[in-house]
Amino acid sequence: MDSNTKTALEIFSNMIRNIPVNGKTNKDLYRSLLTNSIVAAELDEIVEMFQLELYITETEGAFVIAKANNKVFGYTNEELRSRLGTKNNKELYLCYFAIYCVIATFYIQSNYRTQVEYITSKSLLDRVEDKLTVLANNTNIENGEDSSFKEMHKYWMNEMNESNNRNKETVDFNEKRGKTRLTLINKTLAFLVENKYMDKDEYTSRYSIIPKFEYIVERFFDDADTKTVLQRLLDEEIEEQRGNINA
Amino acid sequence: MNENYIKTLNTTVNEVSVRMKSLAKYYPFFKIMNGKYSKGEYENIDAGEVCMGIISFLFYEGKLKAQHISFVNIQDYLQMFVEKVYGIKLIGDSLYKFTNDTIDIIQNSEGRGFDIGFPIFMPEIQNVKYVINKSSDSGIKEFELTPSAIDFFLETKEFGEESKITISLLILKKLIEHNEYESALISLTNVNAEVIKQIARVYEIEMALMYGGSLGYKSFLEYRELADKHQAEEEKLFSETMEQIRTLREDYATKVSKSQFGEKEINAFRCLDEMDKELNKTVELHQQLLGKLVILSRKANEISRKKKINLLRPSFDFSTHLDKLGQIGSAKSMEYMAMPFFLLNIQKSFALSKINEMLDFGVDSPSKDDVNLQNTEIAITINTDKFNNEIRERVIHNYKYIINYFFDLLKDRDSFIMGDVIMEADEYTRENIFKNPDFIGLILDFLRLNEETVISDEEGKKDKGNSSLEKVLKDIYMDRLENYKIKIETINDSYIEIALGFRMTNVIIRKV
Repeated sequence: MDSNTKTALEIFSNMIRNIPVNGKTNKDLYRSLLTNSIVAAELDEIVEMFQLELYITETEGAFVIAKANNKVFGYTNEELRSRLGTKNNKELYLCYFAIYCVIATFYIQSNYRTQVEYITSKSLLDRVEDKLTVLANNTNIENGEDSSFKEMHKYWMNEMNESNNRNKETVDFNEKRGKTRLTLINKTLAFLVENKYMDKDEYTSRYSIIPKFEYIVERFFDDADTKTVLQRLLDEEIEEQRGNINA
Repeated sequence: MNENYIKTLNTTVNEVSVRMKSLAKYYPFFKIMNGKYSKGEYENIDAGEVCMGIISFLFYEGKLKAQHISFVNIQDYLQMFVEKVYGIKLIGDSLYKFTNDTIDIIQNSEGRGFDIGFPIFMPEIQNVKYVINKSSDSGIKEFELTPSAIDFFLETKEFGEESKITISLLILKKLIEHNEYESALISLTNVNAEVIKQIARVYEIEMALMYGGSLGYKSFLEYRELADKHQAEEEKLFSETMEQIRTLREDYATKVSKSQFGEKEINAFRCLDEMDKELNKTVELHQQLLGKLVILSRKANEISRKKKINLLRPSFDFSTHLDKLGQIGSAKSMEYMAMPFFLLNIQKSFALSKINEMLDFGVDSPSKDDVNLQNTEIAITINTDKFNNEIRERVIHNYKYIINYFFDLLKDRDSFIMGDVIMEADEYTRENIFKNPDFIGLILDFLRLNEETVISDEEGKKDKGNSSLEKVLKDIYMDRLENYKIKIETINDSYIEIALGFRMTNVIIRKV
């Protein structure tokens, strides 16, 4: 095998195993990626074949993200639930919704930031609740699935308390136990912090986003494939509903 | 209590009242900003903006051109101002009312002005005014700006930010020339502060460049132009000032002997020393600033290039998408949006069919593949096959050995109980029969045989896998030509200890 191809494959193998390739780990591979244009070109081709997207940043080094239409890498719902620490699919979708709310807080459009500098658990909880309520009330469509906003809202309001303490004065805004809304929010935020997308200031419990987050949001949502997939999903759902209404 | 902060704390507390006093000229404007016109009529007109317009008018027309300004003049000007800025035409009564309201807001509380103060740092200054009235000779009321107002007005524009470093340096130079070393040292802090402020501004300009659109780019260009203009000037001033300080220091050090040092000289020397150090720091900071400017200029090209590319690409709007989802009512696609935040996952799983294949390997199975393997000459012998054969051979051998022993025991009796036999057995028998690895297996297979005699289906029996025992029994029955067969049955609630700590159900072995 050509040595450039071999290097590119080695970098690829590290990336898909989630082993960092940056200035500290796998220094040589990283340097060859930056300086050798043939290696970079080969890696681009490989990455594209696996329906991934290659990102290179100063802080994180080189890493890959699965494109929206990726059929190679994926999770079962069970694995996802265990990553986020949720007990059922409704909570899983609520976590996704919380992540979306985080993005929407910091970004108006994928290339247009808001002036927000930080969020707190409470501010995110309020925002999630407000948006979810609006979405659940706006639709007349009865859909009993776990991923419907109505069901998610029902679960959120009826089966989860706001926090472990009824007495609002002693609420621990960092709580991560029990079946409460605050816990779900905190677990989602903890997931983002753990994977180096957000930064938590321990003193003030304020969460802010860091470059890796910005990098992904600005590129993933602008990507043509992402838009195609999301549009296709929307169209499918609309078709399904039309079918249900007609039936 | 942090000891390091004590000096700064003292400086802060000493300075704050002075700083607050110097803010006094702005306070009236902060109050004016919140002034309201009578509701409903001029809702979109901002009191702060209009008042700034009036103060401007009073300065240019009143002070600089030394005109007498009366109510009517103000009214005329306001009419033009409001039309130009807000596109609203005020006439007649409404214009009169509007002018009156505006003057009331600026003069506040029937002309009393504003009372300003803070509980600790600044005792109340009362009746701070921007506009006062004078009676002219002809008896008409005239309007005039106060010194505070002029101060305020000048502060809000006259000195461009970018040249403040130059001005501060010039002031510093002057102070040094006049031997005002204490003041000079303090002034040096201002120079530093200016440079630090400019460094902070670079970041702001960068943000404006990225997100501010064409205005942002314009502000960047302006900033860079001014920076370029002043850079040479500032560098020259810095080096001149440093020269000056060093020369003075040396003068002090060499020409005047220490014994002639009075209080004043010692003080001056100390100041010059500190100024030297401070100025070094300032120069470093200034270099830093210039460095950042260079980087920013380089970035600017890249940023504007990227923006041109991005302009052609429609970006993803998060709230619009959420609305669309809301119409559908389903959050299913949210999964796709959260996915980029999860690490890549390669699913490791064993297909069930593969496991079955592995387990069935080597056993006579009716599948085509196996048949092929056995028939073709080219077939590769797989070790598992051989391994299984070895096991089978051992089992058959052991079974034969034990069953022959049973037959020997049954020579002179109809049946025997295993427990009894084991107890009476000698060492040799124990080792070879009862501690034989296949002994238990044999008993179990015999017991299983009992169940299967119920099933009369021949083919069913074959697949049960008891083929080893069946085979052995067939052979032995043929060899020994006995007229009976062996049957083993369990005895309820009875156990035998074959080896230490090892028990099995007691069985009875009989002729059938």
